[in-house]
Amino acid sequence: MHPILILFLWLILFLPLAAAVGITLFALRSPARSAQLSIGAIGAAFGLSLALFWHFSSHPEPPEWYINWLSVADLKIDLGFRLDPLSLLMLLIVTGVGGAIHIYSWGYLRGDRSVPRFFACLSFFTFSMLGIVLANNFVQMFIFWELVGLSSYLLIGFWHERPAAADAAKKAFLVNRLGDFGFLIGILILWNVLGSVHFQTLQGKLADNPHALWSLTTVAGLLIFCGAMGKSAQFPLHVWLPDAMEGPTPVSALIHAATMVAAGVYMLCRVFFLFQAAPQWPDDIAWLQVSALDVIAWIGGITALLSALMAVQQNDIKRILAYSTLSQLGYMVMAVGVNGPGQGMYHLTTHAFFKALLFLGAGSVILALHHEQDIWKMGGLAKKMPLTYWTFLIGTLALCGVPPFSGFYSKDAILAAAFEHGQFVLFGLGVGVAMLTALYMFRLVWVAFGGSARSAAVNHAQESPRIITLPLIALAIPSALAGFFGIDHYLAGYFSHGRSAEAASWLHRLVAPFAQAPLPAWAGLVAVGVGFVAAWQLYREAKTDPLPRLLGGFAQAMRERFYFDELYAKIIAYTQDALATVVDGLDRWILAGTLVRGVHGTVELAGRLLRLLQTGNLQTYALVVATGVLLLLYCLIVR
Amino acid sequence: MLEQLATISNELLLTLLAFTVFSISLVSLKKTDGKAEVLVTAGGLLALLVLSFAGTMPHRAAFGDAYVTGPVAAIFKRLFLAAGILMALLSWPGKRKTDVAPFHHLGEYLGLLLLSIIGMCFLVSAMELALLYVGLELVTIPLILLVAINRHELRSAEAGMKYVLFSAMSSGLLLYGLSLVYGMAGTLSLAGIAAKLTWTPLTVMALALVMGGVGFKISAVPFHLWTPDTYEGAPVPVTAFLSVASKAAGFALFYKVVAGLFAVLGPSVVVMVSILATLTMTFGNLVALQQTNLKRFLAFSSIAQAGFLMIGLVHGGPLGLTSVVFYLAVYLFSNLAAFGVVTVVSAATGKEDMRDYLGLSESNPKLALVMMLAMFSLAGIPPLAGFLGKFYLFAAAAEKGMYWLVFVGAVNATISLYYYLIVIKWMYLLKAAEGRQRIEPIEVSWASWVVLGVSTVAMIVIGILPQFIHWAEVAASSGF
Repeated sequence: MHPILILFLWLILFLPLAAAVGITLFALRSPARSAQLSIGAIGAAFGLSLALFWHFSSHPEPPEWYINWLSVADLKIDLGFRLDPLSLLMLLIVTGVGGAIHIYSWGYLRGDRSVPRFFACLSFFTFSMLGIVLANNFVQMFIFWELVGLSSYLLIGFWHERPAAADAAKKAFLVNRLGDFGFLIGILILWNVLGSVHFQTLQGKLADNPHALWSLTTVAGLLIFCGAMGKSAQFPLHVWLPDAMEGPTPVSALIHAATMVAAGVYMLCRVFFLFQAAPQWPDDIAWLQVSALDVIAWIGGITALLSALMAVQQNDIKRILAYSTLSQLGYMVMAVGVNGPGQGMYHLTTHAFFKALLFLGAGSVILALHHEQDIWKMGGLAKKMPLTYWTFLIGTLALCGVPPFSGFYSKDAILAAAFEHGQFVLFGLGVGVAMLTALYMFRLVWVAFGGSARSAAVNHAQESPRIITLPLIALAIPSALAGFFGIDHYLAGYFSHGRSAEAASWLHRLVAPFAQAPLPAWAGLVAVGVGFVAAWQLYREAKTDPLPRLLGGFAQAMRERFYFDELYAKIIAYTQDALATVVDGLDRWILAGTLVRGVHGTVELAGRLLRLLQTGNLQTYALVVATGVLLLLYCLIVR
Repeated sequence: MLEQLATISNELLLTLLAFTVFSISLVSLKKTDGKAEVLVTAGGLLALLVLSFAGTMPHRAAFGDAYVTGPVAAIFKRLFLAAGILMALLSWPGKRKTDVAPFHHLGEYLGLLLLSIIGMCFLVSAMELALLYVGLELVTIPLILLVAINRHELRSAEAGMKYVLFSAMSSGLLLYGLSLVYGMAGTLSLAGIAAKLTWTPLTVMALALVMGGVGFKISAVPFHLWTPDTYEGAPVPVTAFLSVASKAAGFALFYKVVAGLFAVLGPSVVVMVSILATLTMTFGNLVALQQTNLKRFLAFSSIAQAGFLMIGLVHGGPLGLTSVVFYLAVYLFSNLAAFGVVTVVSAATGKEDMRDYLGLSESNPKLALVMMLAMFSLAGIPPLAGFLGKFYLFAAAAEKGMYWLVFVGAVNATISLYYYLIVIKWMYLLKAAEGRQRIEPIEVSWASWVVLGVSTVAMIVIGILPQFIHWAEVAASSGF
């Protein structure tokens, strides 16, 4: 790579870090300065990313640059950058969508006491995420992976004086750690068996010999997937994401749209070559015969369905969006699982636009209503906040997958991939989720924006200031039009190695889904229609939610998130109780009988000895030293 | 003759510098505020550090092979010089509320510091027992005076007293061991002795005795007992110096007399060192958990760190030496950063308890940041240098096949993370409680900023750029 390009990459990666450090050191008392630093850094990074993107689209270059960082015997770990269409696209998403969110944050948090701390954390978060994007090996990726975990902890718990926020931060961190544990073991297996952690080397080795991982092929793939399960909040590790709503709304937007949760899907696409080999299990469980990809696809599908169901019965505007994120992430993971990483990345891209838009719109509403988040206490907001309403509507149409909005094309791509891959059950599931998506989103729109005001707060609501609406508009444009940018061709070129020569006009792209795979396209469209009509029937004039009456216990279960949190709490409590009982038993029956006096006596004696040792009596010191020498001698001679 | 003198030009210039500093305070008796002495000391050491790259540490033997500066010895000497510079700057007499360092004796104080550094330089270059021992005593005796330099203060005097008695005892052990060795081999040359020793009970006894003496220098458990009392009583910059430079010298001593002389007892040395490493890490960590006085806390932390360093000692080859030298450099800067903050705060407010650091991140964000990075580095969190350092130590032990020791090290690293984070908790997380007065914003002198800045940059840069480890590797492959 050209040195200038490398300099660009260093700047892109380290400008946000420099901003974070600069704020911590010099601007902790100046909100305006801290916002300028943070926004400036990500803005510059966006500009540089655009320059790189433009350069690479005309001058393809070798995509790697690295220096050797650690080397012990055979282990070589590099500090490097990998710059290919995948990371270029992701760079643009993170800095572009992230940048809009940075600007919005300055409007949203104006007046908060700890704005500088917020921007320092935000910049640090951006830095960590960019590190994941640019990593060219597993170790580097894992380091930044953990840094993302850490910075999300800081951001979710930003209002740490609120117990719910502190708990949510803790939960997000711990659940992520659970996934990371598997991820780490997966990395260690790869390193142990293949002797490298470098993506390209690994890919080369697996291309030379698809069976290089022997019986560990599937296990390693699934362990790596564990990392993505944590970060991208896939079932059964999905529980942290809805709680993470306790963070400030811009943080939710950032975590949900452009960064953290995208990291899991991005990682799966980055190391997709790991999953392409035929399934191979250790001999003892060889009868399993499932491939890692199938597991991934099913986990994605289940996540998509469960969380779409949960979203239907939520009343908190941010929580509805949170479950919708879960559901869309399920789509992306499912796409990877049905051999369509390109489609997954495509959906990730469009989703970044419209989900950020939706969250920021929700933030705008929340701000106007003085932190009221219950949609049943809203209503009639369309007239009060027209700009927020129209942009929110664009986001909704995109999310539901109404052509010609961007979400339609990316979602259709996933459904088509599932269909082509012969996964008809998953395809049907995807169509069902599309229906549910339309249902819960139009429920949200009609209850919150339509009808008449349901609380006094709405009567005083006003359109948000320019600094908040501008990012909304900026995000609404790609949310609507990203289907025509040709992102799918760009990605298809990357994943099939060799750029697709097809240069379709935007008009051609408009109808492409119907021309190429009509069945999935029509199925998706009909599903959206059904969802829309259902929402129309149920919520057009509703004063309260009619579903609990119609569905009874099932609606209750949906609202209570199918009791996963309670289940986990129970499991944890039971494990703890069981452990405690065991320990108690040990203590009571084994230790108490004979050992306890001895142990007690020893500890007591050791305590006294230690205290004696450190009271400063020199004679004692000398005695200890002499004893030490004698003990050394004893050890040496006896051996 | 001239060529021989040129070989030791580094030490000669250091001596010259020491006497210059002594005479400055002699000439300007009572009139000096000490700034001139600090500037001359720091500037002189810096010049020597620069000169060391221009040939004041030639790789040649002198005085009948009693003195050699190899590549590793050169690294050690540069570390000593760097530690000297930073310690001199830490002693900069700014506006002080309390008398924490000996500002009425700065001339003697810095002169003694220089003498101790001269001793260290001779120690790492010595290839013969007599020179080695004289070097060792030249390290220790000025340090005793430094520890007790606030002689009117009870704690400082007590610390000095303990240090002198303890070092006398350990010198006795060391000399006893060395005299046994001399008796068996009949020569003072290190290489000559190593060639002649064979396995006998007497050799083993000599090894145990020598290890006792070395254990004192590196504060290995159970020879560490002087450490907390002395660290607590000594002026903070002296404690910092003791904890880094003197400890580094101790590890050089280990390589000279334990690994060097008793090569024939290789397996026994490995057993002994791994036992001592386990004891040292575990004990240092467990006691550090309960400390609230920062100097005592750092004393136990430094005992634990010595334990980590000893993990690297079990690997006799170049990788072990690389890891130890590298970690010593990392540890030097990390610990100096921590002690730097403690010095600054203690000098301005007289507070040395970590509970007094409550809310430091708000009143003195920069100091808190340096302290946090130092704690992270000592705990071994990437990307700070401490992580890379521990990584290499563990890698060395793993290559030797000592996986249990790596495990013990990893467990201890986890324990240590806990107590390092406690300091951060006080600075960053806890909100003001009643009854505890917060530290006001502190005015930090430029000299202290240089120390903190250099240490912080070093902690980060050494951790990220790979050149440093390569230097250590190249040096270690050709030996002392």
